[in-house]
Amino acid sequence: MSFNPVLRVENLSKSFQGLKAVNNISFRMREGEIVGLIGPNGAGKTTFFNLLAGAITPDTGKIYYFDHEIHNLKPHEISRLGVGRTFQIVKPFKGLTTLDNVIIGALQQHKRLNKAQKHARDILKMLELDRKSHVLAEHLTLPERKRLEVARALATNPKLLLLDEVMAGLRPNEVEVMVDVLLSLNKQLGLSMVVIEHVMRAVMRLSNHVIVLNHGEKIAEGKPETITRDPRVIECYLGEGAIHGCAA
Amino acid sequence: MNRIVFIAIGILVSLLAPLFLDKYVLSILILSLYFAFVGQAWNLMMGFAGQLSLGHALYVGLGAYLGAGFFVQFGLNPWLTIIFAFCASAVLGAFIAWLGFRFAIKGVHFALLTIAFAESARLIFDHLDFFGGTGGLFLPVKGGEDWNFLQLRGQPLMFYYVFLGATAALCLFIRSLLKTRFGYYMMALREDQEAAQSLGIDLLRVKIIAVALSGGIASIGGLLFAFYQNSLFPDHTFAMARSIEFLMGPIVGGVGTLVGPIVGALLLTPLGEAMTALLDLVGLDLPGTKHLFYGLSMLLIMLYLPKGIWPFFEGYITRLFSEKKKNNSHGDASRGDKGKKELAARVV
Repeated sequence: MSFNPVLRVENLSKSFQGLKAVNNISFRMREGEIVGLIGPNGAGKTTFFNLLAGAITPDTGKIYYFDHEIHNLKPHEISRLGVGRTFQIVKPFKGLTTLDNVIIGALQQHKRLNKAQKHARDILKMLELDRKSHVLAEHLTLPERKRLEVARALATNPKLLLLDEVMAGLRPNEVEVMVDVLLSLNKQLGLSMVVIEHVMRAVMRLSNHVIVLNHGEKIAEGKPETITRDPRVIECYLGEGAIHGCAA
Repeated sequence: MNRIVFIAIGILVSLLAPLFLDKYVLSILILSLYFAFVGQAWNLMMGFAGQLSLGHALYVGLGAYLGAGFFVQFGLNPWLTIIFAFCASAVLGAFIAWLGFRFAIKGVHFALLTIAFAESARLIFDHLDFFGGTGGLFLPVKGGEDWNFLQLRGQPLMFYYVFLGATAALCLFIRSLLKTRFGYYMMALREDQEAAQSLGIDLLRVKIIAVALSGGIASIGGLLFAFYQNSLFPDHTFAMARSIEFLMGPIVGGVGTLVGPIVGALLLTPLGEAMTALLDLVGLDLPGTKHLFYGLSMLLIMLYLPKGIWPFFEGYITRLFSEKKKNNSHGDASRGDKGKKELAARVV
C-alpha cells in the first residue's frame, strides 16, 4: 500500500433548495484502501457519491483524484480517468444482453470489439455471470443486476471503484461471494474502493476505514471495530439494540 | 446452408422480378424501396441511438433540393452533389443535436425541435427563387435517354436498381456499424444515459454523430428520389405528413431492428397504394384514405405488436429453419413461402 492519496476531498458541500445534503465533508484515502461509507437513510451518502462521480457539481469544496481536480469534470471524463461507479437503483442497459452490457464498459479501454469482448467475458466469469451472457439484462434477477452493475464498472479498468449498495437484496451467501470477489480485486489489482453499504457484515469484512455520515455531516471515522463502539454512531445510526447484532 | 440458399434466391428474385413487372407495380416497388431507405436512416437515429425525429423530411428535402437545384441551374453531376448534400445535412443534423443538448431539450421536446426545423425549411424554400420557390423545381426530362447512370437520368427500371443497391448498401453499412465501438455507444445512449456516462461515454459526441449520420443518409435518399420524380414542391417535400410517412415503415416493421424498417416499408407502401388504386377503380374519390390507412395500421400495431412485425416473425422464422434442418420432407409449403418472402425482405 503506497501513501499516494487516490482521493482527497476538501470541505465539500451541496445543498438542495436550502437543505444541506452534504455539509463540509473532508477526507482522504490512500491507494489500495477500501473505505466504507455508512449512515442512516437520507444521510447524504448517495449525494456524496454523485459528487465524486461528477453527476452533480458541488456548491463549494474540492475533490482531487490523484493529481487531477475532478469536481468540475463531467461524469464521462471522470470515468475515463479511472473512476468506476455503480448505481444504487440499478441501471442496466435492459434491451441488451448481459455480455453486451459489459462490453460497453470494456470498450473504454479496448477500441477493438473482439478484445473488449474477451475482457468482458473474463469479468463475467469472475462475477459468476458467464452463464447469463446471452440473456437480456431485463430478464436478470435483482441480485444478478447488482452483479452486472459491478461487472460493467469493473470492465472500464478503474483504479477507484464507487459501489453504492451492491449487496442490498442479496442473500447472505451471495454477500459472501461478492465480498470475496471485491477483496481479491483489491489484493490483486490494488483497486481502491469507496463502499456505501447497509449490510454491516460486508462493511466489517471489507473496509479498512469507515466514515459515518448523518444529516450530511461526517460525524465519525476510523477503523471498523472502533466505529461500531463509538457512542455517537450507535446513537444516530445503529440504535441501541443494534450493538449486539454487530458484535455477533 | 438453407439460409444462404434463401438469401441467394431473394437476391435473384429482387434482381430479376422487375423485368417482368408492369410500370405501375414497378413504380410502387421503387416508392417502397425509397421509404425503406429513408426509414432505415431514421431508424439509425431513433432505433439505435434513441433520438426521436419527427422532421426527417428536412434532411430528405434538403438533399433533394440541393441535388436537383444544382443540376438544373449549373448542370452539376448528381453524384458530386450527393457528397455535398450529405455533408450539408449532416452539419445541419449535428447543429440540431447540439442545440438540443445545449438547452437540455430531451425526448418529445427534441422531436418538436426537429419539426420546427422542417417547417422552417418549408417556408424558406417557398421563397428561394434559385430552387423554384412555390412554383416548384423541375428536372428536364429528355426523351430517348434510356440509362444514363452517371447523370441519374433514365427509365424507372434504372431507379429500381439504384434504390435496391442503395438500400442494400445502407443495411450492410448499419449492420457493420453496430459491431463497432460507436455502434455499442449508440445503444448505450438509447438504453440509459446516466449509465452510459458513468462508463466514460461522451453523450454529446455520440448524439451529434448519430443525428448527423442519420440526416446525411436521409438526404442521399431524397436526392436520388428527386432525380426519379423530376419535380419538387416545398409544400410536399418538407411537409409534416412526409416526415410521418418516413417513420411509419420502421414503426410497423420494428424500430431498432435492421430488417424491420425494410419489412415495414415493403408492406405499408404497396398496401397504401393498392388502397388508393382500389378506391379509384370503384370510382370513389376520397382524399386522405392513405393517411387514414396509415393511422389505422399504426393503431393496430401499437395494440397488438408494439415491437413491430419483424421481432414477432423473427423467432418464428428462426424456428422454421431449425425445423427444416431436422426434417426436410415435412416442410409446409405455405410456411416456406412466408419465410422466403421475409428473407427476400431481409436481403433487399
